[in-house]
Amino acid sequence: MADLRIELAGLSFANPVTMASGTAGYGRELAEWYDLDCLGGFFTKAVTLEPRAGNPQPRVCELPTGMLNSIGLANPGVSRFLTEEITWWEERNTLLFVNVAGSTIADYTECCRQLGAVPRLDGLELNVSCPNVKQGGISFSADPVELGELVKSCRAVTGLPLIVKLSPQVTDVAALARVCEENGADALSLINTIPGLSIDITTRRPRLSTGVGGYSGPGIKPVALAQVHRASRAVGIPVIGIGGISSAEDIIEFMLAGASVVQLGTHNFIEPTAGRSLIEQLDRLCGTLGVDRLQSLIGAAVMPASG
Amino acid sequence: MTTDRKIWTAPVLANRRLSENYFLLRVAASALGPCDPGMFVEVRLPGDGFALPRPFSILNADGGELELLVKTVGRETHRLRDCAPGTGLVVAGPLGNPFPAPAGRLLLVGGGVGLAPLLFFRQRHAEWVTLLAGFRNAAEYTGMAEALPLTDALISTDDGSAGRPGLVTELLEDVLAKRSDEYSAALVCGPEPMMLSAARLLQPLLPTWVSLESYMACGYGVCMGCVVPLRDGTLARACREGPVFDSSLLRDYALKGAE
Repeated sequence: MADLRIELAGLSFANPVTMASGTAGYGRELAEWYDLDCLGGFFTKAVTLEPRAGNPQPRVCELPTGMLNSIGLANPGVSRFLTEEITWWEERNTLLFVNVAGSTIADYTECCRQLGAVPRLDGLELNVSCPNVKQGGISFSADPVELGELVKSCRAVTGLPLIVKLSPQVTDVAALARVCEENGADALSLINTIPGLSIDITTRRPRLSTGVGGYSGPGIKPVALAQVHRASRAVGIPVIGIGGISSAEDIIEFMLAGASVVQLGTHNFIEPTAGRSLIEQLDRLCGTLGVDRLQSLIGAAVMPASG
Repeated sequence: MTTDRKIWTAPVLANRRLSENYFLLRVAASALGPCDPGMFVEVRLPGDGFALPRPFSILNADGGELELLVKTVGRETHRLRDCAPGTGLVVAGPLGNPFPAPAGRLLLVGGGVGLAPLLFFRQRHAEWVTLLAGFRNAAEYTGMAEALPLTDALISTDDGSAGRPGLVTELLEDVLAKRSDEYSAALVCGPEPMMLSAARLLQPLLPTWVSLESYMACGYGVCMGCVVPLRDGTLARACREGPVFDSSLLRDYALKGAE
């Protein structure tokens, strides 16, 4: 048995496998398949200040290398989240992070303030990178000044570990990563989905109701690895890796690139028990690779000086 | 929901071609918990590429085996059509909610793969059911009838080569004109345009349930991809709150002016 524990932002993860926001709901559905306490952590579906119904159908479409989605941050709003979902988590021990989305700094800050004093929570993840709503905060990912103000404002209202989830659609992820760190972020997570489009050539219409959606799945993994690598070299705070992970090998690859823990996303749709089975596979793979302590792999890729 | 959900590798026991576009898959299912007509499973044939699992209504689930009626539509269903006995499929389920089984005589209306949950229902509640089944042509009907218990179903074919010529909804109109008062409720499953017109005929006369064939990514309630609008303005997940719905509660199925 390898030591799979990871220390991150003062938190102790039992292993590096966590659930990515928007791919595992608020936990109840996944818990029908396995005990979520085996996970390193759980990132909830995005919560916004007000409830959101989300986008019309079709909201998902399959591609040969992944999928597109345009759910549109459908969620019950922070008040109902607090009254309806937190109690259920009190009977579980997995590290719990709420993904917070919004359109203005005031929205994010108020959401963080309401969540910031909930004892069951282990951290907040600021979603500044949802490509699927007009005011989904993705503008924050493009403007370092705005991003800095947002992080600073949220930082001021909560003592919980604060993680910023960045978009891959930026010119310099290192600069944005530094802005987050300077303004008090405890960790970064990347990447969110990449804007993508698929068109039915017979109807000449896009396959999603919104046209462009968010591309996820195995096809985005190399993009994610490059971003994780760049961001993790730019800052001292830890990085959470996300993007097309579907095997224990993928997890190791993300850790070598610089991720401390990872989030499992689209693969949850393929296999509801993926979280549990990847933890088991990771343990076996550590044995095969001769890794005693998984934490030692973080950022251990041997990269060329210019890379 | 208290359903006992399982995911397991299921060897294909038999794969029988029924007609040009339909085949019958029989897989090992000793892990499968109790299931009722209208519930579905997610099926995936592992391979090199990326593919979401596909939802299929359960046609039969007795004796540690699972039977699925599959229509070749795209890449994944063609891969399934070509898989030999012994091939391991990843099957997850049972998922979704079953049809209700109200008292009295029931009218079942189906077409295509929508016949699967209705045949499963009739197997469980045979004495109380009239089944209307629509096919494209006689060859499609004959192919299915050789493998499935369709002998006493009332049938229609689009091209008129067997049964009542025309759509199954026209057959439904005939039946309702003659003896709608014999029935206490209707269950409908098939292509969406068929279900929409069937529900419009049925709703003024009978409580009507439809089983939706929504496009879905996960099948168990987390992706939020398969939501359908309800009449009350909210959204419901076809995979979780459905796939069976009281048609009068669905926005697109509710009759205009029915409040």
